Amino acid sequence: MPWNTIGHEWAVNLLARAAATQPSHAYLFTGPAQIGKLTLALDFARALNCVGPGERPCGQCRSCQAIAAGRHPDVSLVRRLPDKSEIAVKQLRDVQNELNLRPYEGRWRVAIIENMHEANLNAANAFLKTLEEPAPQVVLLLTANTPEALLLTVRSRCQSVPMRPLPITQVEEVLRERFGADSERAAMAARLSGGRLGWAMEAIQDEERLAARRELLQTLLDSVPQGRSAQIELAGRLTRGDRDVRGVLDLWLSWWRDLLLVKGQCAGAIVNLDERERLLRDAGHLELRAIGRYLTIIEDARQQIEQNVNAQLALEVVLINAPV
Amino acid sequence: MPAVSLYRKWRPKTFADVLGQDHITTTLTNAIHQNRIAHAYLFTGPRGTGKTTTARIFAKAVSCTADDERERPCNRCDVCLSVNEGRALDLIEIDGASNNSVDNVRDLRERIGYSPSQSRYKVYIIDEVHMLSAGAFNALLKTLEEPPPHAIFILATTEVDKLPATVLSRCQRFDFRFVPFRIIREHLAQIAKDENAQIEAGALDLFARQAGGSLRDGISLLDQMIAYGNGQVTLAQAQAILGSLASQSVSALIGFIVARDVSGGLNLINQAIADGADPRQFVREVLEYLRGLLLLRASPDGQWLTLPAETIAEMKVQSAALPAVELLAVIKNFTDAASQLRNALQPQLPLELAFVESTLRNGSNSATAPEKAIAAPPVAAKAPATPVVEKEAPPRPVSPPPAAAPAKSGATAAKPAPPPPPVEAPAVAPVAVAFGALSLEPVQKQWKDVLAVVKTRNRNLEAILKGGSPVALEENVVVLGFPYQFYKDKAEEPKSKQLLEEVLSEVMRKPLRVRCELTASEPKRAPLRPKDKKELAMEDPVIKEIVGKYGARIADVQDEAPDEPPDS
Repeated sequence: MPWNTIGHEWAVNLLARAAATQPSHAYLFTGPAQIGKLTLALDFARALNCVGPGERPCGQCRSCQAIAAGRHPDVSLVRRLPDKSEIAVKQLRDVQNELNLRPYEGRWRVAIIENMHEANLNAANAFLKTLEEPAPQVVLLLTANTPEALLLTVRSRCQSVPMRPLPITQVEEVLRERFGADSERAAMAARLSGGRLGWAMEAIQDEERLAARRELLQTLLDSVPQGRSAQIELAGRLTRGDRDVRGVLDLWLSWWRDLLLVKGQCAGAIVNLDERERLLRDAGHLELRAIGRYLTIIEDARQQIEQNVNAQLALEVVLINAPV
Repeated sequence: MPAVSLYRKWRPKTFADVLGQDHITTTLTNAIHQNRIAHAYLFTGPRGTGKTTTARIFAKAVSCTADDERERPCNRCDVCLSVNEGRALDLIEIDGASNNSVDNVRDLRERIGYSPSQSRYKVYIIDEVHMLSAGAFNALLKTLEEPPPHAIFILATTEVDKLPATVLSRCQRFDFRFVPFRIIREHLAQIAKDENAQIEAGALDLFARQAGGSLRDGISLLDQMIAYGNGQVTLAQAQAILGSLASQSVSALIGFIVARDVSGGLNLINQAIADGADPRQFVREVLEYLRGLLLLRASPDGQWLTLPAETIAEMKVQSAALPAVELLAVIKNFTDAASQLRNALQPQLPLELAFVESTLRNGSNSATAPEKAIAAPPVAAKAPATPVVEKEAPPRPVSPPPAAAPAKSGATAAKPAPPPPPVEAPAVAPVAVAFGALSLEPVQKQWKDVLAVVKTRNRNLEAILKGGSPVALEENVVVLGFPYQFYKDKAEEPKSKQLLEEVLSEVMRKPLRVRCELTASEPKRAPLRPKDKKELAMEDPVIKEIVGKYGARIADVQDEAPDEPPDS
């Protein structure tokens, strides 16, 4: 299994050809979290430095194994330190110094900057010169969730490799074949992942995650007919401590999107497969327009929370407005 | 040694090669012929339209040693060659984004006094000049106004509004435009040919559209695709990489909007995404198509469109079925979706919402009302509208049928509805197709919609109109009753009245006029005493619960402005 990346064939082709001939000096991998950006970047780093015969990366040679284990002297990975909120200027300066040296044993010196959008403005600017004209034999690999999150000047210096969600059926297949998941759970996790293989793989190995999700959904659904005071109380409970309100809203959003799909007779695409019956039942007495309006309300609340409004208040508004 | 990217390899070397900027190259060429060269130029315009390139060509031309001025730049003399090879001493190109401080400008001022070493002129090109600091701009002002006779400044920027007025007024300004689609398309084809790449015509169309008027973007894209396809690029490959859709998907989606087929459209969207389409790209293409529909209304020959002929034929049919007001609403829905896509968790959700919203256009609050009103009008239904409408009405509740329907029946149709009226028609002169006599009831029912539309154009007017309501209909004049003189006066102001008449005519699809009257007194119940109000309020279950469970106390009860037609 030379490339660990599953799917994204065009990107793999592009990079394989580049590694075999002349790679560009900087690549930017973009796509939603846990879609496989880092996996692809590591694959490419292995392909660049693989010393095995035949197809590269071979996965067998010393170089491939060293990179996979994170101890290759010419491949460095920069990411935000766990106790910091952003990538520090110093981290990028250090890697810049390393990049001025010739490769120690491989063909290319590779620096992978994970989640470049987490670098603050100073760090990003300090990196611009290196990004434009690195030393020869240097390849820079950047990852980011969206291209818009980066400076224009950073974007225009890289070849861009936009990674899109995989088809749900493909994720489902991988979960079944590689993780031996039964088809119902595989279908569920694949749909919940929205085509992000990394997420799906984590979810399928973590029994509790799906169960907790189901429980939360049930709580939310129960609150709808119970009236306002119950809803306000629930909003308080769900925002107490450092619980992630975004997760709650995302879940709620997925439920109402399913209702929209069911109401629009497009039930094939729904996410909450295990609650299919309930969806069909609920959609029956709701109006398409009301569902659409409510989705906008949830979406708005999500954006407001990004902008730091009071999470409890935002959630209260969402819950109270639920169409019955 | 990395290969030189195509857009650098193909950078134009003469004015004639600069594409799509004739208004600029002609002026500059004439300036050179007549030897009327200014000391400071400002080139502005979107990315990849030729600012830096033109600046370099101009730098060559002013110093070119060719005998015939018409031939300059000749690209043969020493000066031209040294610029082309990037070794000219007298062409100083400064990256304004990196050298943006006062010190950099002071440095420039010190050196600018020295004569040019080999050419007639010393040319300073300051790229990205908008990034200079305020101090740097001010330090530059004196030099920019009166540089030494051998110096020429060319400032280039994409964001001209960030330059101080004092800089603007010292330069001759040239605005670069987006390069037209056709020119980009031809140029890409030419490059592909010279690079020996086989590229399908459809793929070239796609690249040229994707370039969005920027030649550099188009060529970069071509470059990447040639590298990827190893010299062979098919449309399918290009679509897969760009996350673009099969061409007929967009037109099919619009078809579903026209037909109000929710299920068909949602299935289409989900299928396309499952096949690897990029939601952003999807929205972008839908918007482009909708814009095409809008343009088709303005000029039915479709000369502005960059789409294949069969697509245009399809668009014409759809554009006839989608009245301008509805088309605009649909465009707005998708524009909103485009801006929400950026941080949406489920990227196709804004797209789906925009689509659903579009199929429900013209509001369900109005959807049922007019249908009922038209089907069973309490007053004279002498127009043949009723049977036609019933036959043509889709199963779902819809807003009034397209203007074409009653027109076909030929009874009152004075003006034929298709071909579609010009775009501005609905705003200025509403489509004059009468349903026959209108009664008061539909006007009252749709009064809320009228207010909603008014609100988008003038919030104040909406607030004023909430104080009144339609009380009678005389011929084509809607009589509005206002309980207070103040509201009436405000609503009667010519501007307000005109706006209201426009909106009313649009919503009711019938030219209507408005007259305002003072109703004798507040038509609603007699004012209550504060104490009664509180008791009344306590009957509301919500308030009861808040008071009971959370220990709230009613401090005051205030009337809201009546926003419903009086139920009298």
